[in-house]
Amino acid sequence: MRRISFAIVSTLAALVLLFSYKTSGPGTATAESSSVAHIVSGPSAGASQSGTTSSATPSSGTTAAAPPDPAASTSSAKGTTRAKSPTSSTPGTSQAPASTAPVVVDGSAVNTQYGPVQVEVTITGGKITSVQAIDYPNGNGRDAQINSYAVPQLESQAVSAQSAKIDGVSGATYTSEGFVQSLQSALDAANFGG
Amino acid sequence: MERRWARNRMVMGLPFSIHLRGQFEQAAAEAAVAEVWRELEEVDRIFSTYREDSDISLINAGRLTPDGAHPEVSVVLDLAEHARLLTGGAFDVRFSGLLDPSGVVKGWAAERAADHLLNLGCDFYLNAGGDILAAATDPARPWVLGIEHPTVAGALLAVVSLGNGALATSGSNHRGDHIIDPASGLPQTRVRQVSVIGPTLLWADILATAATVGGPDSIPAGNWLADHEALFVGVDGTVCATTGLTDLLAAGQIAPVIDRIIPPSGGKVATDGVTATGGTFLRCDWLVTGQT
Repeated sequence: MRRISFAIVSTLAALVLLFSYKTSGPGTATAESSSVAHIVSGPSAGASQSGTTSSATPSSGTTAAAPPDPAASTSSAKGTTRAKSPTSSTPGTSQAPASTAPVVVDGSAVNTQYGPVQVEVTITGGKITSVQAIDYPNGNGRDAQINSYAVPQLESQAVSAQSAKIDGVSGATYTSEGFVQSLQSALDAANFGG
Repeated sequence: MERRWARNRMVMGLPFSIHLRGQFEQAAAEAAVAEVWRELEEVDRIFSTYREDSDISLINAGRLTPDGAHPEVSVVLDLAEHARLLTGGAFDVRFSGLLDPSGVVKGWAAERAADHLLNLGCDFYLNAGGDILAAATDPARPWVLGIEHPTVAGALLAVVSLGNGALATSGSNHRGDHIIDPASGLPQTRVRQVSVIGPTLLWADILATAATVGGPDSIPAGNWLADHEALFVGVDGTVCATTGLTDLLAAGQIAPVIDRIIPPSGGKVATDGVTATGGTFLRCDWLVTGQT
């Protein structure tokens, strides 16, 4: 069950980091960010994971497991009380998508040059069923773009990529900005876990 | 139990992804992926046209000669010259007196860096900014790869099966008209997107770029390599494919309506090596020896 948690949290980390692609321009690929994800609710709500604090690259988000922290409310993670289901199953027992109880995971805010972006992912039966931005910048045209375009795109594609029977996508040069909306980025997120 | 695992990173100003499939040691995978990133970033430091201190920028500024640059600069410029000759000038890293070998460097570097993934003994693919190098241990279980639709966001034009080899897509849908016709100095306006499937990422990428400039008719004209298939989308939406492309389409998946089949070019064959991923490596020695 812990492994599932890692997978879920890693997936979340990927989604959070994908947002950092969106909000960092060419040449500024490393947005200042602090990737700390918390499982808000679900069968394995105990695990938490800390990413590195220096880089927005997913490969650096691999991690050591922190001890179970039922409080799961340290510092930056907002909305950690958005439980959509009670914690239920017995930790440490079954393998992978055994549980179909929805698990809700909040990413910590990623501080981008446009402001903090935070996403919440719902996983049901081992699949991402929803991605929502619960905190994002407001105030200029760029922010409105994130709000109105990138977020819904990311959500629908993260969900659909898992049901699509493809492993990867080739396209004319992805840019840092275009990538977050690409099907490949959703596939990356879906397979990001260990 | 089969595992899937992925990492991605911005390198050379582009998003790269690595996906692993099968059985592999996690620690070994992390180490191999780290090596891939390290090597790609090292290449970027030498070749980036966005870094003022790269060898290429110094050459363009007249402060360094290719001979005095990092030894790999000569390797890449040799490949670029082969590419220019092969494609009848449609692919050219020199434009307006400046050197921009990015079109060679990405495929060359990605292919070389992917060697670090081979020792893992599992299936993998590397997506280098939309161009994919794939390796599958079991031919019966190829990677199933989508080709992005050039005009419909989030949609696929086609789905292909690829065991060991490369799929490169070039076009104008993400960055505007970024393919310049060296002959006219203007963005090409006939072809919207070209995907090429071949044994190596280096040459699939080069041919995709050249075919975007030259159009479908550049293939029968002979500026092409054997063992490479192409799928074109014109600006008018028509779809052309080389003869063997349909064999690569994944069964039961999204497939384009092909308006025109392009006959084989009787392409130039130049194989003198085998890539680490099992593909034949086209060194184009026939150009060196004068055989055409």
